[in-house]
Amino acid sequence: MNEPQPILTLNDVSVTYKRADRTKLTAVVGVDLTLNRGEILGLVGESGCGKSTLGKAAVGILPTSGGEILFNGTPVAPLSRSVRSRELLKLQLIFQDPYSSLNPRRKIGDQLIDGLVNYGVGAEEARENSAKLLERVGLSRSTLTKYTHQFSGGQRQRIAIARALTLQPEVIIADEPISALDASAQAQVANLLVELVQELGMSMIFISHDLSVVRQISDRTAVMYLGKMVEVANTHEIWDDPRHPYTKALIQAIPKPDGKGFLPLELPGDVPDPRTPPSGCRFHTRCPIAIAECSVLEPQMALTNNRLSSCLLNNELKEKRSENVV
Amino acid sequence: MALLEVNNLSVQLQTKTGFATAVDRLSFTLDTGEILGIAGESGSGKTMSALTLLGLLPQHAKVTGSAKFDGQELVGMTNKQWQQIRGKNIAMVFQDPMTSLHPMLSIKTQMTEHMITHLGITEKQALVDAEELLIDVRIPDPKKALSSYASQFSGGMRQRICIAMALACKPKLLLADEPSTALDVTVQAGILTLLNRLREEHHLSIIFITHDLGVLSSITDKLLVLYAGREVESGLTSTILQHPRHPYTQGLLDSLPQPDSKEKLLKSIAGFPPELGKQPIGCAFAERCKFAEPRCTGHEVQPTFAADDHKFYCAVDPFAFTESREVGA
Ligand SMILES: Nc1ncnc2c1ncn2[C@@H]1O[C@H](COP(=O)(O)OP(=O)(O)OP(=O)(O)O)[C@@H](O)[C@H]1O
Ligand SMILES: Nc1ncnc2c1ncn2[C@@H]1O[C@H](COP(=O)(O)OP(=O)(O)OP(=O)(O)O)[C@@H](O)[C@H]1O
Ligand code: SF4
Ligand code: SF4
Ligand SMILES: [Mg+2]
Ligand SMILES: [Mg+2]
Repeated sequence: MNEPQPILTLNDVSVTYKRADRTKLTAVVGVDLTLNRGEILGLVGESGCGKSTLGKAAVGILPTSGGEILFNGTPVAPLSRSVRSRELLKLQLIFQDPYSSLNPRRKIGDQLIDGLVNYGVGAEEARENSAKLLERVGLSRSTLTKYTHQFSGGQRQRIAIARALTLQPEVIIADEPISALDASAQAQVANLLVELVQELGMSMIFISHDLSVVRQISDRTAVMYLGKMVEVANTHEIWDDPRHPYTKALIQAIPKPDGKGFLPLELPGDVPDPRTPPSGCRFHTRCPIAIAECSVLEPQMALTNNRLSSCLLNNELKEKRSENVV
Repeated sequence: MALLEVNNLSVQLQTKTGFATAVDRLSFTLDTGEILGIAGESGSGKTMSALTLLGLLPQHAKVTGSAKFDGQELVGMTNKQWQQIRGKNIAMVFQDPMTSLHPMLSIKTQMTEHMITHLGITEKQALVDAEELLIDVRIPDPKKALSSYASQFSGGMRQRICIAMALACKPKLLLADEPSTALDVTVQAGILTLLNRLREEHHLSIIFITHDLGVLSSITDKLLVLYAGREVESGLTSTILQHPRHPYTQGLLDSLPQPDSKEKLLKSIAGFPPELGKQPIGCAFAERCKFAEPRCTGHEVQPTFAADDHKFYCAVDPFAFTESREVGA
């Protein structure tokens, strides 16, 4: 295999929200992550763990409070509320909720064409490009003259994908693009994304809380818990041999469609409030194998037997040989 | 006698171009303590079927056929009669917990008012019962929870509170419409365990609606697969998931991620279901079915019984002799 070439790199990235009541919430805490050229990287974790926040920061529409993000070597940072530098146009986010990112009162064609015309493409060419994109995502040209309410959830998601593609991005961050869809529409949209990545030579971060689809389509998988990364590995390794107790719990909680009637395993407890995260290991309040030290010592991402995870039990066992990695 | 007997139940909804059939001649039964799953893609009529059993259909909807609950005919009941049934004998949990929780009222007010009116108990008794229900659905510190507001809970906790509210009047039948679709797998596993326990301990009957076949596999006894408002296959959950006979059911199962696949692309059913009001005569799946033949459309497809309790509607039956599916690792 060729040496992986990083296209998007996050170094020690943190994102803090300042709420109206002046409390602060650090939704992403010291995350290191690399997306390689041509790769699909799955990002999974429970609701509220910071996946969308990380995605928005990674494309530069949300300011970071620490660390740096590099896209093709260029620092990613919001220039201002509405302006993004030209290089960053090659870095696109498909929003979690297509209802909120598409304007219900404007024709779909106009919304697609704007993206192009604003960047100097002639109106006629823009229209033709948009029609082609819609066809590419499996919709007819007549979609241009329609409004979003005339489409089903799966079709709207395709429109959102087409819009993200108008500026021929190199990297797409797809935030839960299939969660709201039913099984058959999920497969259609997931396939569309995989095909686009392969055909157009793009790279993609695929955010989802459903590990089973991530397993099928992504090359590597990153697992987050309460703002921190807990495990990153090749997808088949994570699945066959999860190293972090939270990753194990996630996998065991997936109900299997085998008709055998087994209930999936529960992970007791609720996700703690991120404003007051637990001390030590953030997972210790729910971890089935926690030991006393877990509530005091904060584990770091470290390599153990060539696998990257953040658990005291993994790290301590191999303390001597482990090396801290970025 | 079954707790619920549904026969040829149809629902027509008013659209801009006239009435359109959203639920087309459904028939099924549900026993005490049984869990029936309703599967089907978006728009197939799952929610409308459930709303019919609560008398909560959109305005001007027309219902025909029969639905007998505990021997009582639900179709054609007056509003006053519905009030005796709704929430009390038949209760519902919705996909989005915020549709049933009021943001400005405390959990206590929402839970107990309901119980006082329906059960005729005192406020004091209602409080005691409410606390017990919250313990039942594993809400930590139920006293504090009762004086809190919906926004103070996580999505999973809100859904568990909704389940507690739905159970407040000790219904015999719970309609759960995608109760865990918006939740994470870890939280979802907790909700499934809870519902299964309620069935075992309180003999609650449940209609569980979702398009997630993994969820249906883990909790339901039998399944009804809908396509464009019509039944395409029904039977025991284990039978349907292991020996599906209808091409649509087969397609749904195929489109799930395959654990051992080296292939990145998922199998998928091309195309979209017909729009409401545009279902063809004959098999509604024909436009997307790779086994379609001329005999599939133009006239009604008759049911085939693979076994006494396994029925499907396919004129061609291409999976008559296939081996049992091996799914899941
Ligand atoms: N604009 C905001 N202001 C303040 N807090 C926010 C804001 N957006 C998100 N948060 C908080 O930040 C944390 C992370 O949220 P985020 O949306 O990134 O999670 P997520 O992993 O994408 O969850 P989900 O799976 O539900 O989409 C949550 O606790 C959330 O409540
Ligand atoms: N108020 C309404 N008036 C007219 N048609 C409606 C109304 N609500 C829903 N419909 C239509 O009725 C049909 C059945 O809808 P229903 O909500 O039962 O589907 P569903 O199977 O529950 O789908 P989903 O998985 O998206 O929840 C759909 O075609 C839908 O567009
Ligand atoms: S550090 Fe402790 S609490 Fe955290 S995951 Fe490892 S064993 Fe569990
Ligand atoms: S009846 Fe024909 S079109 Fe319908 S599912 Fe069977 S083979 Fe396919
Ligand atoms: Mg999100
Ligand atoms: Mg529905």
